[in-house]
Amino acid sequence: MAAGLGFKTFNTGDILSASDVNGYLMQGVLVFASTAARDAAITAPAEGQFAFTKDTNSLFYYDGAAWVASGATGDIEGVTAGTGISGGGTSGTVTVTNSMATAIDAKGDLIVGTGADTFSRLAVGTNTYVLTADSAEATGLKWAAPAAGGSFAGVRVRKSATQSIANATDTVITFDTETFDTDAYHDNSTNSGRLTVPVGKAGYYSIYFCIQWDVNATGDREISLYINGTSTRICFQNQPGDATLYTAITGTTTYYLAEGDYVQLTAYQDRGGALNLTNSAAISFGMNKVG
Amino acid sequence: MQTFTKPTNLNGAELRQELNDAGVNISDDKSAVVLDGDVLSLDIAAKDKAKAEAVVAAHNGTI
Repeated sequence: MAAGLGFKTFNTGDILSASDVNGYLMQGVLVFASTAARDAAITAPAEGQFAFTKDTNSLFYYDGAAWVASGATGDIEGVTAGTGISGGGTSGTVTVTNSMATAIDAKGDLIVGTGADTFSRLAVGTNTYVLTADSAEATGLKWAAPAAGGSFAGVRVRKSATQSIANATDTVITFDTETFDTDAYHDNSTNSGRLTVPVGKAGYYSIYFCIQWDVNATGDREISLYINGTSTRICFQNQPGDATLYTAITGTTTYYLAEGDYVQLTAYQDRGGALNLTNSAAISFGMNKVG
Repeated sequence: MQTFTKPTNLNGAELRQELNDAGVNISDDKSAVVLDGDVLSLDIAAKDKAKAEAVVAAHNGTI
């Protein structure tokens, strides 16, 4: 197949040469039954040559290396934006845009559902705020400061006066001042030696005490921690008395306490006569709920 | 435990001796004599309570 020669107007009486036929007349669209028939008939296609195949009603052009289908055969007549998308069109270049993406204005913004197939932008919250469900909000969510205070529960009590402890008598230590008491564990006047677990506060408690004896060298000093009376001791410490120093006795333990359970301390000494427990801000008895 | 009113001058060691002298058996355990406020609890048999009551009432220990 000869290469096309372009366009020429022939005049009456002109004699067509083989070159004219091949270069002008044969440069139209050639019709074949199929691509197989096309390839059999045109073994050396020229760049720019067109062929039409009837089996698929397709138009091809030769690009110098291969036959290329020419012209669209699709049936798309337009692009319409659906949910969450904007844009579309029926001709030319069509642009569609993700509406969720364009709703975002700043770093940290969230796209939140507001109902069936609808959404809205939730602007980024204040630093340290947390996302919280709130049905009163249009988005069902809001940024809010985290709840303050946690769930700490506990009590610490101390003595504001000395307490005389009789010789060889296991004596319940009383406490008349509360450093803190989150849930009425203690009463300064009634059963003031007890720390009682209130309703709803059962759990594991870290229990501690720091008790100090007056100066005396004779005998031993002992502090015991009891639960629900003086039958079950869950912690104790003892030391000998001292002629020049206060005898401080501290202890700690962790114990499960049910609602209504109470703990109390007893003091015991055997110097031969009564001996005081001292009073100061450091003398303490307390427990903190740890789980 | 049997409970009594606390004597004015309580000495646990002396009270134990007085109870023993009166024929009231009391444990040597430290927690056999417990004082909670004005309530004195003694780890003695219930049958000995009346005898112990007189001992406690008469007690006037070294303080």
